[in-house]
Amino acid sequence: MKYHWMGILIIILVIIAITLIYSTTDFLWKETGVKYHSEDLHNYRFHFVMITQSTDEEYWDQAHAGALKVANAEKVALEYFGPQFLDLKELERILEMAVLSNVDGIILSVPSDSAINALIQEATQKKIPVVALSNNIDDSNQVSMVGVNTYDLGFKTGHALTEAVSGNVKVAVLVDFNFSAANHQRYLQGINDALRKHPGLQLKLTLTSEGGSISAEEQTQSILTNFPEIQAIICSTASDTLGVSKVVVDLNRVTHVTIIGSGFTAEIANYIKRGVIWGVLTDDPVKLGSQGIWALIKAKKKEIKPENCHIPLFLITRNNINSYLNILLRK
Amino acid sequence: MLRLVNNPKSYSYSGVILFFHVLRLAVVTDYLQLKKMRKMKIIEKKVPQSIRSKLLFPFLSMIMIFAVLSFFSHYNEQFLLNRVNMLLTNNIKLKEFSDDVNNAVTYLEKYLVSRNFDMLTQYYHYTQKIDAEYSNLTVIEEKPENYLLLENIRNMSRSFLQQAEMAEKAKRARDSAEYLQDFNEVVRYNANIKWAIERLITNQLEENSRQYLLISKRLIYLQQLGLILIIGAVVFSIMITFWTSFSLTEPLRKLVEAAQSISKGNFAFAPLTVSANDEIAVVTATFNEMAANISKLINEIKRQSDLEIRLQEQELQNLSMKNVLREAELHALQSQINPHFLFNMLNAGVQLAIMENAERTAEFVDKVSSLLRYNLRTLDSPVTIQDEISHLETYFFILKTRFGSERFQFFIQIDPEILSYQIPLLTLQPIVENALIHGVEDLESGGKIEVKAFWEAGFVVIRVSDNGLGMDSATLALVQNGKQPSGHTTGLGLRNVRERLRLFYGREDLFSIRSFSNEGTTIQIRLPFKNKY
Repeated sequence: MKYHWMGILIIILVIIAITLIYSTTDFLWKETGVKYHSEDLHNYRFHFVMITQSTDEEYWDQAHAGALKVANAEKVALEYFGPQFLDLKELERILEMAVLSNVDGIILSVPSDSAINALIQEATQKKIPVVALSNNIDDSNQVSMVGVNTYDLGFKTGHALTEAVSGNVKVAVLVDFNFSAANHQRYLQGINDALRKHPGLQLKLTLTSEGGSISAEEQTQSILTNFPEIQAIICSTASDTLGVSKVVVDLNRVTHVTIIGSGFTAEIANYIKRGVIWGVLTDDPVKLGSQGIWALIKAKKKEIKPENCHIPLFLITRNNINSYLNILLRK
Repeated sequence: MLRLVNNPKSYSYSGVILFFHVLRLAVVTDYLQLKKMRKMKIIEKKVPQSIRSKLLFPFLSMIMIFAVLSFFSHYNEQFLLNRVNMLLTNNIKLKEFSDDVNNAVTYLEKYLVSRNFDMLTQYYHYTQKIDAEYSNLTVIEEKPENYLLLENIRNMSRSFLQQAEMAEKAKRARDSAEYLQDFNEVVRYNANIKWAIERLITNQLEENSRQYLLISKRLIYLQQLGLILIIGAVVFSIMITFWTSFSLTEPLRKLVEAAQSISKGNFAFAPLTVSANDEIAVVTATFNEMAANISKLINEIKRQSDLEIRLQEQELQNLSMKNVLREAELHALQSQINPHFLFNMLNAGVQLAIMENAERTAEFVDKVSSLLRYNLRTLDSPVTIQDEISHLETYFFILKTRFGSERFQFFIQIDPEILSYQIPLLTLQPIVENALIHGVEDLESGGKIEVKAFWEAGFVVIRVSDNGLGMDSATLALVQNGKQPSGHTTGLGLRNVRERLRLFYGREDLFSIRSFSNEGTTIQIRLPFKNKY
């Protein structure tokens, strides 16, 4: 009987050893992200390249996720070049490579630049459809646009300001440096149209931001020093919004300066909750990404000619922030 | 080899399969051996687990555990090494390809500038090489990012070759504007291919380094796990070794002790118990059986030897009986010296006395003659009490004649029912003679000898008593032990009577003497009732 127990013990030990080795082998392999014999990679309909250039990583990560979801469902191979790598030269290089590689489509969110415009021109000549995200490329009939209507953005921002303040208020505007000239105009037009019925609100200062929150901080510093009468600042990008908010907090001017921002990140949400930012206008990045892919697929199928596709805008303030937190910050 | 490397579980699979094969082989061999032994009647009982399997199973298991462990760690090292190898090989291949593109551009440029044929040959060499290679380029891990980058490189290479061909053709056609434009395109492609390849190499290096670090960290964890497993296995092995040696030697030690005990002649030990179920158990059971059998045999021999001793005693007894008879017969023979002559003489004396009218003398001589005749009869033939009493009366007559009737008185009182009861010849006369010689002979007068015979509770009791000198207790003890005081007439003493009665009836308790000094002696014999012999 004693012997039988010993035998059972041995068998259990062997099983434990084998199980341990098996589980550790799995453990060694599974989570390193190594995948073998993936058939999906070779079995795609289109090869699209997505190039974004912005400091707002979180926003573009979500946009990429939205694009990837549609791409996977539609058997599209999506090559993504995210914002962390890129300067303008690198951006040109990637775009050039994409054009020279004859990819099936390009989604872009890049600043307006002559070299880039030339490459887009080359792409269109090679019949590579190009979709621009976020209004940055000058209007041309060859490029589809998916994103926010800049006039609409300006108008809604202005409208938000009228809700936020009353009386005589001098306003400064930081315009996204990526905006094309036409969009720049449209944006300001929107704001002016919104403020027209409120003569107390006056656009005192219009600056083009330099991109990035550090330069925004510098600009804000100089605005608040040189124009102490400014009581409201309007920003058109998430990084500008953050830079402005930081300076306002640092200079202890929260109660004097009303900020109407743009874009929605965890940090911005925090500022809204604390009352530093009165409100922001934002779109849904996931929707932006998915619409971008759809636009390319449609272009590839020759269903549509290049057209503009506007996605909805939301105004997020302290009152409704909680309902947006889960929807927009789903990362 | 590559297939093996790409399948991390194949080592473990083959290890496990090997282990179970060896185990199965061991068990099957063991079973066949047992079966053979059973067939040859070496083992009668069923032995499910033999010592062989008892040893094989734990030791093979231990070996397997160690083998799997060392195999596993060896495999992990091999795996890492292979990954690094693959990465380096792949990157070198990509780099070479990039260099080939670069060389092609260089020689194309030289050709365009110089129209040197050698340069064209070199250019062809590299373009052919690129043409052959670009579709065979691979990435280590087919991550979408890398794979698509590779696709870009392939597409660009294809376009590069076309563009270069166009430039070369334009040069041949001496269209300088065209070939310059085409060559610029070629240079653009070259730059982009180079960039893409560098990016791919960087990506792969980055990804692999990250994974290498991750795997290295996990390997350290696994090594610790392996160490714990090895320590566990070592402890377990020690335990198993102790247990196995103990479980094997302990029953053997008991067997040895028992065997030593038996060799010293001690069979009185409790049967050995063995909990295991192996050959030792069979040996122990057989040993127990053997010890029990030996013990039984020895008891049997003892019983037989006891029986033999008793038989020898019996024989000795028979021999002594024969001696007693022979002694009696010798006495008879001594007094039988020419009895016919003596009887003829006595008959002549009787006739003489009648002729001389001496009737009493004639009667006396006649009685003496019959007394002698009776005494000369064979001793081992029984007679009735009637015959014995008649003989006694004759004896008393002679005594009275010899000593005179005043000196002794004789009384005979017999139950008539027992007159035909048979007893050995000359039973009563020696007792009476004894009473006369040792009891009343020395009395001046008043001597009395009484003989009584009667029934008592299934026994014939004959009692001879006298009122003579009696015996002191020391003499009585002597007589009771069969020692014979001297002084006999007929020569047949009490001891002879006693022996003959014992042999005749086969009992010891027939004879009893009661005597007190100066009060007389009573001798009593109690004979079991027997009608016939």
